[in-house]
Amino acid sequence: MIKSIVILLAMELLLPVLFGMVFALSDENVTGRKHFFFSSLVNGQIVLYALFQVVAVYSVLHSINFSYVLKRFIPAASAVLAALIILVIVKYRKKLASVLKNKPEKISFWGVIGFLLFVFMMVMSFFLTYTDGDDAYYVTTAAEAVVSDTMYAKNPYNGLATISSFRYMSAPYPIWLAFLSKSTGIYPTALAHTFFPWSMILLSFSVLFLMARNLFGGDTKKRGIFLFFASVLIMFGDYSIYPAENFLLARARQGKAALAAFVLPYLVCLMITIVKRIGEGRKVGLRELSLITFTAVAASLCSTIGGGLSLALVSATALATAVVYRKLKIPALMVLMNLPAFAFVILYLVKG
Amino acid sequence: MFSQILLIIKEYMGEGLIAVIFVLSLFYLAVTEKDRAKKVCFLYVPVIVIIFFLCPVSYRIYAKIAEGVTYYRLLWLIPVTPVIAYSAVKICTRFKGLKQNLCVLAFAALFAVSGRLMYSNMYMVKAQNIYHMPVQVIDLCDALHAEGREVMVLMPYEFQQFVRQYDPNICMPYGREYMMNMFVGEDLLRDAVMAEDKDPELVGRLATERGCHYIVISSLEDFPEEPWNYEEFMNIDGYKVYRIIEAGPNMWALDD
Repeated sequence: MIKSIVILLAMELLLPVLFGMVFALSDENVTGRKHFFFSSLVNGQIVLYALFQVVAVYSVLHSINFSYVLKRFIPAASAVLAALIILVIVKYRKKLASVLKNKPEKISFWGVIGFLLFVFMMVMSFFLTYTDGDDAYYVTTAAEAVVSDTMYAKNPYNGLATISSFRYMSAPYPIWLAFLSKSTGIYPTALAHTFFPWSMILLSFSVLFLMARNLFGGDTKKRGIFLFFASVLIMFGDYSIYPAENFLLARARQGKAALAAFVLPYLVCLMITIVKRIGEGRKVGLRELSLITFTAVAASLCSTIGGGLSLALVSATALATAVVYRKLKIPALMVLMNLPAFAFVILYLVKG
Repeated sequence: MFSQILLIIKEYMGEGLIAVIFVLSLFYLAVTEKDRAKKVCFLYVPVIVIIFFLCPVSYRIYAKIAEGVTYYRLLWLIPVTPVIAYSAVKICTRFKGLKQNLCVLAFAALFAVSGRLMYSNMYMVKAQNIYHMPVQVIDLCDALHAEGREVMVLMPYEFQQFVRQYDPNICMPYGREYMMNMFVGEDLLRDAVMAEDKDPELVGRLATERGCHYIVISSLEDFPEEPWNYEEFMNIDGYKVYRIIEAGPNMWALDD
């Protein structure tokens, strides 16, 4: 079990950080260790989700075997990771060394309280459980993939052979859980309910951390208060069963929760970054634009409608930016960079 | 159509205090925010999304692509928590020292009152094991599991959503569809099991027909006598398990 937990930590923390280092180091605002860690973690997870979505949807269309996904994803991910690490060594090794040398910034009192509240939420996710009927679909699909090596070939509710709607196959988040389960050796049910939610809460916190950096720059006091307020709003987010806050704490193992509490908030954060750059007359480069594509594809992994929602958010931001700043090129590019994700929606509409 | 959309908003926002705080935050940002980038992301975009959301045409298009019941997901595009937290930070940091801390505490209390603590939700309970499954489900599944084969088990209503999460090798003649009110009135076996006056002969015949190796039922709702073609096999955690005597035509026999 200890070996499994160590692998899980590597899969949930180390792997995303390795995938996201390039994106963190290519951001001129990232100078400290904490910022580097959270930026790498979030960007890396987004890239991993996007890569997995492409491989998994391709695999689901070609085979019913889960091992088919593994055989394609592991080499693809290894190749991308190797390329990203080479890029870090060639282009960003000096910045990496300087970032790691920098002393961590002081954390404000409210920042500590906010962080502790998030730690509390992570700990509670191990010991408390929320009964949700949708798990009968999502967790069972993950368990079925690991136990019987089949994907979407059986009705998860009763186990009888079926032809699944492409609606579910185009957003194979349960297969991501199955991948984590297979890699760590943790039984899918235990992984989904006990050993996975903490990582989603951490990702959500990381996005809020990045958002606070975007909004308040180096003002640690304001950032701390922001994180404290955000943590209180999340903890008390049970005003109905629909908000992202509720999904995060109640059903973190479902793709919908990842979309609502991690991917879409990250897209908002990315939009703030891009709009700020446009406002300040700074270049919006490949880094920011490619991250739009990765985030939109990652959203498609989480939910069929994810690609459509990301397109709606980016389009709304592009429209407002074009009107406020009277610039068209970047807003148009923003929308264009989202279109690859819309391919999954079109695929779903065509295949049903 | 518009009333349907308003109902979705009402259900999404619960008692509504958080919606009031959010709208006040938008007004506050509209009046005080000087940074145009923040205005775009925290004011104009939410307003565009709200207008889009309220438009019946959007609802129609969404309902055609996805399902109308998930229309609320468009509201996830509005960064409610960041907007509220950002506005509150702006207000609090207008004060200094003790006044600032008191202001932070006051806002935190307001946010707590406006919502409901997730951990006080009646469905949020202490986990009984690392699978976060009812212990009876685990005991039953472990007892009925057949290595390398799929077993068909008629499970009680209260366990149907858990069984296959824990052991996908256990199949059921009907599962969570029943809880979702799908196919109601179309499943004779389910109707026979759920009937107040259970007919053991009818249940046994239908279960055999559907290839059930076992029938599990709460001891409190037990059959008046053993179902036809089934014998009492074991008692687990207050649930009685009946085992098939002679396998039906399209099923493997337990003695194989």
